[in-house]
Amino acid sequence: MAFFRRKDAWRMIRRSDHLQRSAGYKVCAVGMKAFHEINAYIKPTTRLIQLMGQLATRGRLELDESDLSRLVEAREIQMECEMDDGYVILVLRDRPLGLGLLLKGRLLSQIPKKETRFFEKKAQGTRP
Amino acid sequence: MTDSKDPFEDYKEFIPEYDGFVEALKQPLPVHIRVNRLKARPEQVLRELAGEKIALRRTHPADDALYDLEGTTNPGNLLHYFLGAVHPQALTSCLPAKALAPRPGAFVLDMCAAPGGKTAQISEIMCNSGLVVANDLHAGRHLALSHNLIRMGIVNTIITAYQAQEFPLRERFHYVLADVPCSGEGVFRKMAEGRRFNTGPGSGKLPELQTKILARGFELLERGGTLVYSTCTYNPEENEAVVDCLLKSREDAEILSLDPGIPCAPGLGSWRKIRYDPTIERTVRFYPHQVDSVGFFMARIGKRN
Repeated sequence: MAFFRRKDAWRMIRRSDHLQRSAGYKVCAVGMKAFHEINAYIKPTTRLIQLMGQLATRGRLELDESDLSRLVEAREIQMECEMDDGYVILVLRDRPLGLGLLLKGRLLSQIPKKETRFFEKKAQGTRP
Repeated sequence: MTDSKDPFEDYKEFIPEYDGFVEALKQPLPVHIRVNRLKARPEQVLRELAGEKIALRRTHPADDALYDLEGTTNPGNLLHYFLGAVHPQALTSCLPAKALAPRPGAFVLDMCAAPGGKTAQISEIMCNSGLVVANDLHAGRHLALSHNLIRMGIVNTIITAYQAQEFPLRERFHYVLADVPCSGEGVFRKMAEGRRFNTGPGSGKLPELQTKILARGFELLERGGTLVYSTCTYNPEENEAVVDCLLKSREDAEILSLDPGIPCAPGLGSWRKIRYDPTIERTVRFYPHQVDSVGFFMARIGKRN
């Protein structure tokens, strides 16, 4: 992969011989946004986690549907687990969904709220 | 196009089984999805959705990624949509990328890319390799284009904003997709009363625009390359006439054969006393009473060496 930084974000694109051929075009966007800078931290995006999260060997937090529904609805739930505080990869049925933040016994959702329509329907008990 | 009760009366002479066509227009458009193989296996998605009591019916005999989402109105509310594993895409709209069949590692141009369903499918066929230039003039559509590509895990694409008919001639592409702006007649269903296809101001200039886009797309194609031209309209002036114009102006253009794998009709040999090149019959038309999907036209064009 090749990474390009613009302002506080890094974008990622598959390396290809054709990238050089495209250098003369006026390009509006390259590949996908992979990381962005938040204060002093570099945070991966939800989509990068979905793409690469399967490769992670640590920091994976498996949730069931009930936990996930409550997390999406409330944006924050009580979560007692043996993991250290910090960002964790939220996993449902072995599928990485995005990031959560563990902080002193609470789990905060880092998945953009506008992306969680499915879960909200489930929480309300309605069929999607 | 005459403004009459039957908006397609002018096409009676060439639409087969016209009564069946009219009846089909009374039904709502089905909700179709494409399983994105970059993110999930079709059998896995089928199994998981069946577990949620969501029924899927396969729509293409030779492609296990294309389904009718029976009884579900909004695929955007599915977990699989959020994960990029499925994308709402009409069956006929899935055919241009399949006809283009770009090889992995290729250099591809999608001239009118937004909102990105076909672009993403092209990238999937290429196994996310090579480079796809996704061009769309309207910056306002780039958000949807970018969102869809990223959601489906596409990492081999750049986005540009040129007028398609003036895309720079710096490089030549192995493959070009020209899914051009059109009058959208193929989307018309009578259930959506008040919904009108593009007959407003400027729509009369569509064939002129489409001809220019196709001409530019063909110029951008390298020798031995493949271009697919497609619309979602029945109007021969936007379909066969545009392709015929290219054949008349470029000796090195040839219409390649197409086998979409679903019922279709051959391109028209003539319309309103204008006879087209005989090879135009290798183009294909899709009608809603033959294939329950958006009406469509497609031509696969090669550039001779």
